[in-house]
Amino acid sequence: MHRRDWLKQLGMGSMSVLPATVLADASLVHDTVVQSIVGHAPVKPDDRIALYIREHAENGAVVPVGIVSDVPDTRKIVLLVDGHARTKVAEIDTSHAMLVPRLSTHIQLTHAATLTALVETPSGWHVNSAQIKSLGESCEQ
Amino acid sequence: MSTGSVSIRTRNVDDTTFVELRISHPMEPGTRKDKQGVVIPAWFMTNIQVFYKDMSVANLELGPLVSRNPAVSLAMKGTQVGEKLKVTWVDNRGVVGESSVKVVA
Repeated sequence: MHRRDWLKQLGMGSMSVLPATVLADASLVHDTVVQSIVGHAPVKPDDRIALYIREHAENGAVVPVGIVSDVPDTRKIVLLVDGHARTKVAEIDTSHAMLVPRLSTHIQLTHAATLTALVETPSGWHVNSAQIKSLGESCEQ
Repeated sequence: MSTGSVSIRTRNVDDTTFVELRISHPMEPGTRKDKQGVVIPAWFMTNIQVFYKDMSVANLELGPLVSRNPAVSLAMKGTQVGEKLKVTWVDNRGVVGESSVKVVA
């Protein structure tokens, strides 16, 4: 199944989803949190991880996020967001053979933020990020 | 939906089964304040597990930034129509819940 079809299944097909751009230096984002997850293992920027978001989210209380990992042997996906009190949004163990390494959910943000997806494989960690540049109606502080 | 109620929908497209979960939960992040300026205590779902034929196939940890009444979509391969799909959840107060459905075509 193509990504486009999957996004339609998730009800995200009507929005202009933006493939993430690979970070030049993954260590710049969520440095401490990333290190707490991966330890001292190297983290490779990888555009086979796609984050599907709205660049300008309409409602900060319900911001749709979709992650698709085409990195072979994806065992875990971790979603992080910067600039908020709790950085880690979700973590899914995708090691079971039946589970496709994809996840979509909605998150609540108080301001624009960079979302980072970490993917664990037997050969190491991979990362990609995308930025939500603005929010419409934000949730209360 | 009352708090803790779980909605599970499955849809088969080609060889993939899409599992859409929606669980009624406040998902208070612990950073918001009420009208009196008092911080509303954190109350959020911390874990969701998905079982297929009573075998755990997905384990999802959640943080407080997931939106109220979490909606989560997963994709699975190799399911069979009519087999049981069960979802369990727990929150940071130790409240638990579960629901199950049969995979539909």
